[in-house]
Amino acid sequence: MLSMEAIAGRRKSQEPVERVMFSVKALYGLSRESVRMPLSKKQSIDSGQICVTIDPEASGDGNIGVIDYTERADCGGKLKVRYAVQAVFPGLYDLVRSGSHDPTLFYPVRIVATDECTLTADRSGWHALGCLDFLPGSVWAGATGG
Amino acid sequence: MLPYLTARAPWFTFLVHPRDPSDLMLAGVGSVLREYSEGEEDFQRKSCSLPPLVVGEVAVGSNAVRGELVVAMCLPRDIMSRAGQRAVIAAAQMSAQRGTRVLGLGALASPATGGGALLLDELPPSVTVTNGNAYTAAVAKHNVVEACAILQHTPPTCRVAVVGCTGSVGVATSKLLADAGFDLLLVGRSASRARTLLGSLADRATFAGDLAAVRGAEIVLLLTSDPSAKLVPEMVSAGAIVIDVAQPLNIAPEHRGAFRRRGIDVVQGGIVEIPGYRCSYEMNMPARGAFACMAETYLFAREGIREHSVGRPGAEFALHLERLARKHGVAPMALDITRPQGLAPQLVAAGS
Repeated sequence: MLSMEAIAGRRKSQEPVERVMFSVKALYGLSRESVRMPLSKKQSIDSGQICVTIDPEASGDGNIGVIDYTERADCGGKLKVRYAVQAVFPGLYDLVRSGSHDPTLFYPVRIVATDECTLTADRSGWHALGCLDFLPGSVWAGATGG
Repeated sequence: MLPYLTARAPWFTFLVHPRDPSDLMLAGVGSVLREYSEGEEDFQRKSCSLPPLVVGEVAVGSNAVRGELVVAMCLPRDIMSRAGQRAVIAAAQMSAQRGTRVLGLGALASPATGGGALLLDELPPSVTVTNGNAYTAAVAKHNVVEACAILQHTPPTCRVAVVGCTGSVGVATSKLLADAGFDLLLVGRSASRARTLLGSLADRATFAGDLAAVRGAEIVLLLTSDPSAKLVPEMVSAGAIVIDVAQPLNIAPEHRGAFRRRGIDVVQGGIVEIPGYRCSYEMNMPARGAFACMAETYLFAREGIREHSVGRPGAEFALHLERLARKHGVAPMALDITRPQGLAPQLVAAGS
């Protein structure tokens, strides 16, 4: 029979939580390495470090992720996250300066990043593997990268 | 704020394309692509492989109506092909994804898509399409009336050649000019087609399929830049005024000198002034000037017009847009002609 006590008991009982959803409110990132970007069959340029910050123009509803703490032998869990960022390529400074090119290459671009991450065994951090989709409107549109 | 960075949906989008290879340099990345290209052909190929770009923002005073300028990276020589059509459609769909309410077509984006009709199946119903030709027709007629006054003529005695009379601007313009009482010479690719489309004007117009027929006209109105309709100075009578409304221009600015030396004024028409108009992208326009087709796109957004204007607009709709333009302070820009006051040029036979 359902009683007030039974309902209160249900509320108090704690189910083990293995999955936690979260939203991304702020983000700042700097890549460790440069990316080679092809310009022709023979020539390419270095992007330099890529600097990303959360995209203030994007809908916050899209910045969301889930951590799965299910025990695994190889890691402390998995994490999937999708977020919108604006990125700049400060490494293009030399290219633009040397050729007196239009500085619009420095302008930020909008990107949606999707990462699949592996939590470290002690759950103090994670290793991310993701892909970037450049949004329409800029010369980078349609480009993808990981 | 860079235009492509904002997530605010524009009220309207004006879709254009590079008018010639020099416009490719305006894409920002142009000089880099040129440096890393093997010759001009490779540069053009790379530039035209770029996706559609949001290159500028249009604002009108403190009005909330805000627009964007989107470029389909396709040169005029290719835009009438299937690839060109696809480039225009891709740019239109990107504009729709950005939330635009009104899509206006500049230069050859309209003829490449059947006057905009082909876009209707490619876009969501929330987007209204206008090819901008109705208000362009009204402004072209206004340009002719102004040129007639400069020549100190009155419509019944002023012979006006309309080159491109069967096009989507040409049909409405021809009817407006006929209503204004001008003596018309209507030039199309074929005289019979012109007669079929504009037969109701037969009592006020003669029809021709040959560009050479413009000789003797006091005013030549160019509404097409088709290679078969390229005007050369020898075709035009000295003292005439040529109004070039075509985009790309029928007569490139560097060729105007040859006309001038024969006493022929060549001016760009189809340009209007919009109070408080600002565009963050340099389109090599006269100061404060905007294309009439861009102004029509703005008027659609401002007035909340939800009916498409594709194909050939009617003269009545052109007049309706002219009234709306007046209501919002949009007016044709004066022709850039300076002739001595009181000196009416003598019209002499070309070649003399």
